[in-house]
Amino acid sequence: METARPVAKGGLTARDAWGAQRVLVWAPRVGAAAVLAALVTLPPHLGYFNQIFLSEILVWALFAMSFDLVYGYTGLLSFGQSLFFGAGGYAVAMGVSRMDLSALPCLGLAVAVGAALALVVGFVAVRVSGIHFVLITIIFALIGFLVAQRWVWLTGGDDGMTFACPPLVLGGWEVSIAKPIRGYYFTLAVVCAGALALARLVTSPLGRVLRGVRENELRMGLLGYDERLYKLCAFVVAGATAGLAGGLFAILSRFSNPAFLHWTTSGKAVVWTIVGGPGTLAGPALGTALLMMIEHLARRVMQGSELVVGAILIVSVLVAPQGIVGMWRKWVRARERK
Amino acid sequence: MRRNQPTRPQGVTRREFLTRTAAGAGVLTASSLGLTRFAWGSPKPIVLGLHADITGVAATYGYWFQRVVKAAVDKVNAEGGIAGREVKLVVADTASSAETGPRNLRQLIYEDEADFVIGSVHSGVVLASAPVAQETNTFYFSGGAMSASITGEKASPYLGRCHTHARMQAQVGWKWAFDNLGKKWTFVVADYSWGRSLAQEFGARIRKAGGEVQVIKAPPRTSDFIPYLQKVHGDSEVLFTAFLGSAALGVMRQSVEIGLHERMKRFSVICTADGIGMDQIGKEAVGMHFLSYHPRYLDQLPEAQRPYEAAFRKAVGVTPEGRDVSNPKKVIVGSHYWSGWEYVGLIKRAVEASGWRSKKDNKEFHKAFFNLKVQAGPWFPQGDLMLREEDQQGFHNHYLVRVEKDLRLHRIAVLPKEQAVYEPPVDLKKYWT
Amino acid sequence: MAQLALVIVNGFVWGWIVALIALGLNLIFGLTHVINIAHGAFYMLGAVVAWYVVEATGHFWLALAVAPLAVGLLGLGVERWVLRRVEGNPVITIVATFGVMLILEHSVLLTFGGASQRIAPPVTARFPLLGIQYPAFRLVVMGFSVLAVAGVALLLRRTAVGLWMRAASQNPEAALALGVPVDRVYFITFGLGSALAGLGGVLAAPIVSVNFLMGLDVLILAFIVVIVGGLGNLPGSVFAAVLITEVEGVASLYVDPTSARVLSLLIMVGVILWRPHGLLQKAA
Repeated sequence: METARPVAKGGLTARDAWGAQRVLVWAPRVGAAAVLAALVTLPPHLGYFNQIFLSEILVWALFAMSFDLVYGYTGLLSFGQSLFFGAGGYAVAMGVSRMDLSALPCLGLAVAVGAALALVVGFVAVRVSGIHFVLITIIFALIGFLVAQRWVWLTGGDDGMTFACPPLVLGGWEVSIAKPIRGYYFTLAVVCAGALALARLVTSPLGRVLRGVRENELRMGLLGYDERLYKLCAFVVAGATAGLAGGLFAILSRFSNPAFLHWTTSGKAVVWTIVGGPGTLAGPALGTALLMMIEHLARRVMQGSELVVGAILIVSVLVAPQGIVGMWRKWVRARERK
Repeated sequence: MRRNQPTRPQGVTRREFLTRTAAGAGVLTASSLGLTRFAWGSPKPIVLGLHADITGVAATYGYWFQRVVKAAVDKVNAEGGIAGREVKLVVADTASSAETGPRNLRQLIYEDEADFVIGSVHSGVVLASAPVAQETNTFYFSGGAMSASITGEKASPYLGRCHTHARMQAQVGWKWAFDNLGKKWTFVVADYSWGRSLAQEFGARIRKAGGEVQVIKAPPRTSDFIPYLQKVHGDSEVLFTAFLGSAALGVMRQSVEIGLHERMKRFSVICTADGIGMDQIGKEAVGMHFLSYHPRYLDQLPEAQRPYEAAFRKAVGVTPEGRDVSNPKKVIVGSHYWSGWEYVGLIKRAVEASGWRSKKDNKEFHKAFFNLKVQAGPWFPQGDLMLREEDQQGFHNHYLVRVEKDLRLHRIAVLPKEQAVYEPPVDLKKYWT
Repeated sequence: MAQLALVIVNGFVWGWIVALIALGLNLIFGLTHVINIAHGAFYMLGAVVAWYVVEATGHFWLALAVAPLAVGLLGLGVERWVLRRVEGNPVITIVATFGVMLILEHSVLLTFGGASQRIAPPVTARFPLLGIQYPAFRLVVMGFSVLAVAGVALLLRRTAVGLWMRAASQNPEAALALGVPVDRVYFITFGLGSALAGLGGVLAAPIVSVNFLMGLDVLILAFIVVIVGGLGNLPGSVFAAVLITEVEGVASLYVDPTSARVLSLLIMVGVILWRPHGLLQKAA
């Protein structure tokens, strides 16, 4: 197979290579710090709508990262994340309206529900791989959707549930997070905590085992790792994270609805992650932010905006099949090697 | 092999797109501001938001609501605006989705500064929008959503509805059908809130009157109805079907295909067939009965209302036969879209009666709006309207129509609005005092 | 008893119709490993094109010829300009074909509109069957399905192109080394699969009506059928289609239909765990 690589004009000097390495190491860190600084300082000047929109992007970014843990790091293409997201939303709805809980216990409930459901689904699903895994997770999400529509006494059926914003209770303090800017900072804090936990996980020894499972399941098995157990482990952590995202979304929007359980919601995470770059955590977040903004802007300025969004998706995977972050890494590494 | 060739990044595409859409946005804003008949220095316009289902399952409704509300805003501006202020219309897409809907509504209210919003036909979207309406103190009027809970168990101070819903339909329509069509009913309904509540509300009343009820609930996205239709009891007299989208036509067609129309009377609410021409069901549609909330055909209106209706249709671009003037394949959602027109008229009268100037005066607006005495007129082609303050719900006449040999819907009875009235399930007055 | 018999007969007929809708997906996914999210949209497009043809000419049989051709051509274009560069990476084909689906669905929404339309069935006869009147048109559709499945099976088993298709799906590198024009084989396979989706759309339209979102109703069902039946295994997918319609139909006699659907989905999960390589094959 002939593979013609675009060759950079002129040779690279050693100094350039050193520079490139520096770019690889420092650019993401500087970028992350700049983004975080912007996320902390800018929103008060942005207006209510943008504050809420930004909160939503953060929540969906966390959702996409939960998918990245199972797909990008462990190699499991899960369409079941919507089930855990939707269930997390209902957990918060129950927590607020039936148990009168404050924000953090509600989120704890959402995490627990997401993890528990993921344990059940994962227990079955990790027995198969590839497209069979995809189909089984889709089927479970579909079942969850049908059940949520059916059990009106529990979920309000397809009318969903609406409820008041729960207060945040920390120690003896009680703060309302109903105002957009407060809701935003609360979301930012929770999402950052979730993202940091995931980042810790993927760089830990466990994360390395997961990547091993992704790259060569058989070899990991021969090395004595129970690959199913590790897959299940990743699946449950991802389910808990998706539950957390769903719970956060419910707190922000004050409603929950069976539509979130439908597998098409998982499809969004797949699209965002692939466009952003799987196996990078930052990529899915970036993909989510970019695509949500493009979709929203396009819908606002024109009718038939989905045509543009569809074209962007196609062009994006043709131009950068490894995703935006994957592309960036490849580019830097190619320079480094020279 | 070509498939493995790495491609050169073409970074311009995305940037190009962004500049182009930005330019597009500029054009849109310019055109919506242009041609105003209100001079410089006149008071700040009143911003009317339309939260329309432009894409997704309810797209037909979004199409017609855009047409109707745009025509209404043109009319109100041509007649000097509301309280001398121009009305500016801004539209946002709900995507028929409980996720996208509330987000775009927030933008409509926070960024476009909508003062009032005419809302979605999708009950899930309306209910998901209620928290947004409340947090922004903005009235949100249901644009055809049929869940009883919107002005019932899930009522909210900033939700209002001038049109019918599932419970009201049962209240107003069951008796006629029970007396005239038969005592033994079979419901084949979509297994989600709307279908279930129709079966429940109609069924309870029929049982109470001594009739028999069989309920068959099928998943909403069913393609093959024969396994469910064959369960219909042999001695059933009335077949009531309620599905939406592609399944609506599917169930009506398939009940004909297996010959159920020959042994049973068919009855449903017009929601299942609004926007669908009877020619689409075929000649077997003859004999179907619908509970309609506003006639599709101009000549089926009570005579006194026809001049108003004719003017309304002319403004929107609808033929007397209930089709799009420019595309006769498009059938109006005539029983739903009139609320978009009437809300504009209602808002005009309530603003002018209460002296509303900004959201600070919402309390006065609310009082005025839900106490308006409304009679048929240019703004009210649907006829007299009774509004109720407790649950913020309106009551209007309903019509019983039947498909005759010409495949038109013929009015066979007018069910007066007084029959539609039920005890208010909630009292929102407390919130407002 | 008559009810049960009727449901079983109808399940068999409908199973073949489902198998027809899934047939194109079986070719595309089974042979090129493209996860074609746009398959439902191709099916929908077949119905929409047929509707336009019937509106213009009044001939259903003409539509039956034109629509699959049109959709097949579009499929060829999609393969050539979109998928060729990402084939071999199933996850990326999800995103690419999702983009195609968005474009197709919304193009149809902008032109055809959001309301459902109907194509009149060319055969309106019905005959008494176990207590109801059964529409003969369903048997016609089943007949086409049998023909299509048999035709594709013959193509795969008895022709050079079929041999290439099977070779390219089992081991693209080896096939390429042996002189099979893998690119062209994928091209043809995708076009044929799309045309079959269009064919399914035309034939199903008189039964289920035409709507821009109708593809979503069948997409997952088609995937279940293809995967439970075994990739590229035509008898297996017919078997799976009949199984799922039978289970759901029979179960809905005894429990409510939504529970019946949940039950049939759970049984499919069981089958996948039990026979991951296809219903009709022993574990590898």
